[in-house]
Amino acid sequence: MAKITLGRYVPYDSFIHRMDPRNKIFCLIALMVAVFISYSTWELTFIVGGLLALFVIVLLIVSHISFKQLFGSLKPLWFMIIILLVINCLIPPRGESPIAFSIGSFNVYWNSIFQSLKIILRLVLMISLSMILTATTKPLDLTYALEWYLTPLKIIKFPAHEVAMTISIALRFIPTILTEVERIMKAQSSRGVDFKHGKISTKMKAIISLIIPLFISAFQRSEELADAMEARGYDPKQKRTRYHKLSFHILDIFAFLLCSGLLGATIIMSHYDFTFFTPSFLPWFVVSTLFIVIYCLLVGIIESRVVS
Amino acid sequence: MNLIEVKNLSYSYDGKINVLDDVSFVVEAGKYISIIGHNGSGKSTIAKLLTCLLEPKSGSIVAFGLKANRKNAREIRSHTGIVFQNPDNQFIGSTVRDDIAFGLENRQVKHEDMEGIIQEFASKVNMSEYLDKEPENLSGGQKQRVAIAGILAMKPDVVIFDEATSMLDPKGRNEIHETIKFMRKENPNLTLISITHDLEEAFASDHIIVLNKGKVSFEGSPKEVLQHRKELEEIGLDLPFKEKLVSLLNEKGFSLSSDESLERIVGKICQ
Amino acid sequence: MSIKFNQVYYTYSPKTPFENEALKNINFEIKEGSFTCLVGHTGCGKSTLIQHLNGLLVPSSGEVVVDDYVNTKKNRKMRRKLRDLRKKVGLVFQFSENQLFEETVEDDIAFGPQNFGVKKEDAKLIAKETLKLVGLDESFLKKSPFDLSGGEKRRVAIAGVLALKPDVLVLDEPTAGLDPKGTKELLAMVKNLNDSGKTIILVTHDINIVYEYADNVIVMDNGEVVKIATPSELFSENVEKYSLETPMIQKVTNMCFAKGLKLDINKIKNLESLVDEIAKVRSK
Repeated sequence: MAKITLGRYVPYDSFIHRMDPRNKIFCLIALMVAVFISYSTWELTFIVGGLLALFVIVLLIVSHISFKQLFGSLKPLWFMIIILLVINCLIPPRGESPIAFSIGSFNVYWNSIFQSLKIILRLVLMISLSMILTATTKPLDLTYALEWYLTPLKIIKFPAHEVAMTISIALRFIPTILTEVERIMKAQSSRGVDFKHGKISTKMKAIISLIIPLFISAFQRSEELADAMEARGYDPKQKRTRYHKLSFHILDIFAFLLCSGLLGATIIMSHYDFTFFTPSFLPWFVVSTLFIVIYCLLVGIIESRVVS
Repeated sequence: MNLIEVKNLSYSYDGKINVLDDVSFVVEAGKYISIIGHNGSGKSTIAKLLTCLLEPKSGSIVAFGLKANRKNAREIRSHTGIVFQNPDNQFIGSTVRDDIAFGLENRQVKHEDMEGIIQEFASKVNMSEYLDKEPENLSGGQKQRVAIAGILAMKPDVVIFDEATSMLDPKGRNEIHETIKFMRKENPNLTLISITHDLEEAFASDHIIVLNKGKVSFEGSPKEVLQHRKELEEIGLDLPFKEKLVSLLNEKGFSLSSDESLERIVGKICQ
Repeated sequence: MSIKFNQVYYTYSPKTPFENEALKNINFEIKEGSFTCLVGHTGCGKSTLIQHLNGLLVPSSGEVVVDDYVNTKKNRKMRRKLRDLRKKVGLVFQFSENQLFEETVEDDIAFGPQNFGVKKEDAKLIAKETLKLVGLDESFLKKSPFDLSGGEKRRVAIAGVLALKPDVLVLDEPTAGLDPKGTKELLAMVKNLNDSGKTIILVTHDINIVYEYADNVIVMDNGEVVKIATPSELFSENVEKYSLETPMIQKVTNMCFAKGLKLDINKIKNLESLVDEIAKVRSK
């Protein structure tokens, strides 16, 4: 279990740790979109990509994620990255492109190399960003944030609170159930089950011998848990107060503006390649930004009424 | 004052076998009651009925002046707290802090008041240092103490222990016994119902109800219950060590009384 | 068929922030046919230790020798031999009823032998025999394991391990959660198995079990073996330093000694024999 480094919360007291999880999710999405925007020239792609990478590195440092940790979670991806590189180099690019080098009669084009580099850059940035989110935010806070984003759906009777409660309980029980998996596997191994080797039919049996006990105990657990929750006065239909209150600070506003600004800037650059604003694009950008802001405000208002 | 009155209570899960069969007893306010019986004697079913997790099929439970049923469940639960057997499956929050808060949230305690209450009750069960720990980093005894804190924080009139120590090691068990002692000293008005198969544990209480095959075999103070030595052994309950020692020695021709301390008993043996 | 631990160390998740040295320099030997209790409080490394006995864990350094199998880092690839080891050493986990999964008790007990290549019909015969060993009659064979009581389930689970006909049976807290009657019956069954020649290693918190049943006690604390002795040797000293309690029987025996009553400590195993011994000495 200790091997899982990706997505693990690392307690630390940093500015990013203290940020409002709702805002963190927003910023993450904004930055991810920014990372995935394409540009018409390679120069622009790598200048903007490099700047974003620089920004992400700063974030990593600020949130106290060691690069060792980051590379640890990238490990399973190295193989994919290499394959991507090779495949991309093998396929001749569309359109004209200078030849970078030749192996025998086979030509490798600059465009292919750039294309692969772009994909790798995006992949690494995307993983780093999600890691920043999960490493600096307690899983429970993430579910609270999720619940907040889902509040408007309560109008169409979507059980936002129940969904969030279910997720938070699932999160709480992951370590417990992993321990259980380990114990059952060991118990069955002691009875001669080999989970790693053997024919498909024996492997199937091995898996059944793990899954069935696991389900039985999970059902029993859920029953007992439901009893415990009910006995302690839990009723999903009833109003509840909140121990955890998510609060939006000045720094959050700053982060919010920074990330929206970054996203806006990349969109503009992508659209206009440094040519100037044209009236046809500006309204679209303004409207979409306004929509996000109004949505968040509205949810905030509804939420404060539901919870208080 | 009778806080809870159970009258002619029967219960069956499958409609055929009665796990509880015509059970009647009363629980007085401020008393510490033990309900003992072997596994499968129906004692855990009583716990579920008392907390309205199940509804009586025949007979009745009147608790706090209310008939126990679905309708009154909310009200009755606001007076009753229960600690279950499995320490893992009643730990709802992701940390000690959150778990104690869970009940408070259900009770709509104001956000501003929660932190103080959490601190107060965590310190009562000696868990103040562990407030931010996750359940997987706590021992069974610690988890049960958190459960107790979570329940006490809701200020119940009755706390039920449903085999709360049976999955713990001796250390954890002692921790819970100490906590129970502390609870009684701190709030003499608190009523405790302990459901257990450990006679040694039950002897710390004021009143013992012995269940066998869904029926009340006999009840009374620990001393009175001891009169039924033979029946207790037949049911498969283990008498406390001193009792067993004295009764075996008396069979060998000694005339000893278990009311005396172990030192005095041994002194008499050696005379 | 002896068991030997030579300088065994075990570390969980080495070279990570979660590194945890669970076993430190473990050395001991267990004789064939003996009844050994392993005691120590939760987290002292007992469970880690017993998993070395059938190769579920491999020592980080040092070796565990069971008969002709050497469980060591070098040997970890010997799968065929490992299977032999699993057959020789049966390991029953805590709350072992959680490992039941087949539709009938018979199938569940027969599952183990079939993993070792026994034919289905023969495995069913083994199941029938083994069920007797754990004190359940044949009427249980066709029942679903999930319809049984807690104590019965646990017996079936133990039978599932016994069906491999191991020479050594290792039980981790087999009485946890059972009521006094169930506990007594289960221990009587284990004692029977021991009398029929099986080596028993029992992990427990219950010092009374240790006192009554064990030939030898291994006391663990914080990943180390701190004491190996017979129960009477162990409890004649102050065991609180090992965070153990003194059994009540031992307390009474000690009090009697202090008052000048010369009891033969070797004859005292449980309350009955204590009372017998007192009566005998007093009547002299």
